[in-house]
Amino acid sequence: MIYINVLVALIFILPATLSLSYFFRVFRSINVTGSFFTVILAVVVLLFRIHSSGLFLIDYLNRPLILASASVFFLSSVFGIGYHHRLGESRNMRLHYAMMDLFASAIIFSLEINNLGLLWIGIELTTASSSLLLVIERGKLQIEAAWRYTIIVSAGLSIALVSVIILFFAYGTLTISTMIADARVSEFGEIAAVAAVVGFGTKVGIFPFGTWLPDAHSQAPSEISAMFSGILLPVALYALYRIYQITGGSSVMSLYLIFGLLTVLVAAILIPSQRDYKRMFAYSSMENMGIAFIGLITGGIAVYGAILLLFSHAFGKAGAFYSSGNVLEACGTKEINRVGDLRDSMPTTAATLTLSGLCVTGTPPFGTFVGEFLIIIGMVSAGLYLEVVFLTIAIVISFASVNYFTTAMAFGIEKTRIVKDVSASQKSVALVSVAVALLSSLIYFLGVM
Amino acid sequence: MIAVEIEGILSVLMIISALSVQMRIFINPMLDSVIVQSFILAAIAVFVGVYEASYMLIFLAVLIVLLRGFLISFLLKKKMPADPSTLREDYITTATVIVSSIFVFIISLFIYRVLLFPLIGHPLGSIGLSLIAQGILLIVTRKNSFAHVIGYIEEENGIVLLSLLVVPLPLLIEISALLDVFGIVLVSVILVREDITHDIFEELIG
Repeated sequence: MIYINVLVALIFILPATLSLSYFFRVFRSINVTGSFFTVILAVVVLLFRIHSSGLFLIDYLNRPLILASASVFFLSSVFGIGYHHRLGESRNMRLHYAMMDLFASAIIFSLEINNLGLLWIGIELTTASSSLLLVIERGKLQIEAAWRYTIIVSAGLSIALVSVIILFFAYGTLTISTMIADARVSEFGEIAAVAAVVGFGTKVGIFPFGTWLPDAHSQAPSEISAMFSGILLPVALYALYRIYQITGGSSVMSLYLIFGLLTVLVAAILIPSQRDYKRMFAYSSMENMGIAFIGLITGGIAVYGAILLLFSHAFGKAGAFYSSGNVLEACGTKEINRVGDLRDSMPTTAATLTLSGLCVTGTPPFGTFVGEFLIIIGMVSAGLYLEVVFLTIAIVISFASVNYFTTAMAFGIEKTRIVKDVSASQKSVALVSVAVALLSSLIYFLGVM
Repeated sequence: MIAVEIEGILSVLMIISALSVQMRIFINPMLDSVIVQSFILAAIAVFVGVYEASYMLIFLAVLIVLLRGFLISFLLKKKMPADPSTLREDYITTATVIVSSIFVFIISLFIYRVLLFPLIGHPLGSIGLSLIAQGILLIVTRKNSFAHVIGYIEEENGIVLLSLLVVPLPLLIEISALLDVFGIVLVSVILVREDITHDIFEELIG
């Protein structure tokens, strides 16, 4: 048991230790090497199906999410080298990497810890550590987005703490595994579930609480947008699901279903009107989180669908944001209408952008497709026919609009003037990310998950 | 019985301080009011700690005084312009603030009475809940960065009060939450230097 605890603890301790690279000139190499070892440790936990319910809670639910978090952290560390190369070895750049390390550590800690209070603290820490990551370019818009993110999310998470207090009052413990084993439907649970969906829902991007999400995603540097979308939102969703496991009854399920469906529908309605491709991908993240949320609360096979969707989406959306970063760097604009014909000028980026667009909208053979398919099967089995109709409409709208925009950017007739070359490492990171998303359904079919 | 009355008096003082925070148009006295509120919160923690013979709660009170009473106020005051009288909210009138604040206060008391009181049974928990609502109201109705941070501190004070009066969380959680909030305020203070008020940006709509 002690070895398992050490192994699991190392996955979040290692990134935290990497923040000390601030004091070294070779901070980039230290970060890339260290984050790679984090991935190795996460792979071991997944492949050997490590299970724990002591100090840490490791099970089928969070093993794939830990691997996705470690992997996106590693990919973002590599991407940042090329993307911020003009900042050199400045203090600003070192601080950026140090905060990124603490951010990744807080995310993985939140996924692993078997205590609801500490889980809340871990998620609050992700806010404290990631706010400054948005302002590396120090623009007025970035500062405004960082401010909105910090205030809205922190105020929302405080409501989540009320939910933790209520559950502690009801159960007399904060150990998640004990609370799940003692799960029961009660009025306490219902009130706690409402507070949790407002609190953690703010961080997940659940409508109407997640107003910070498109602003922060569009203004953050691309490797940070990738971490936000790919791994931060799923961690908050994970916390919300743990509370659902403790409190879930039919009334909580109905309430959560309404919030999930509203989120998916609103995101699908807003995507076609977007002019900024990073905002478009941000709304797509809201949509995917909504679908995963619905899958988790539906139960049965839909839970596995939701986990697979979250895993595949992490890589697909990271690939989309890395590709967006490459387009932004090369073309100097975030406007969809001003980017076109990337096929000729940036063939690799055109390919990664198109593929990641297909991935995040649930196109076969990506894992997102298999995930969404399993969620819909689960919903049909649970008799949620009307909800399936609404969900399918939303999925079709966002599929059509996201892919229309990405295809127009990649193959459209508008000639874009390339103002700057993108480094090979940035293109490779986007390519690797999309490739993993493509292969992610294998995780389910090989029975690793 | 006396203990309950003392708790009640201190809790009502918390609400008075919350209304005082709401009514301020200038930021400097608003900050002073929330500092006073943090000191009252610490006094409640000391009282509950002595009454229940819990040294941990007294330690928590010391931390509240150090972090919220001194350190956070010091950091915020340091970031304010040289002439604090220039920092005022022009977007909202005092009458509107008083009416909306009292309205939110009554609504939060009603919610507590209907939903939580039958389960928890502690009447003073309602003060914690209304303090949380007052903090959120401050964040929502003001455009000034300092007012947002003060609103957030007030909201957190409400949560600590709720926890203290209803069911004290394990000290590790309380202290970690306190430090976490300090981290958020620290980050906010760094950001507040760059921009004081928050307007509408076309790029952040849609």
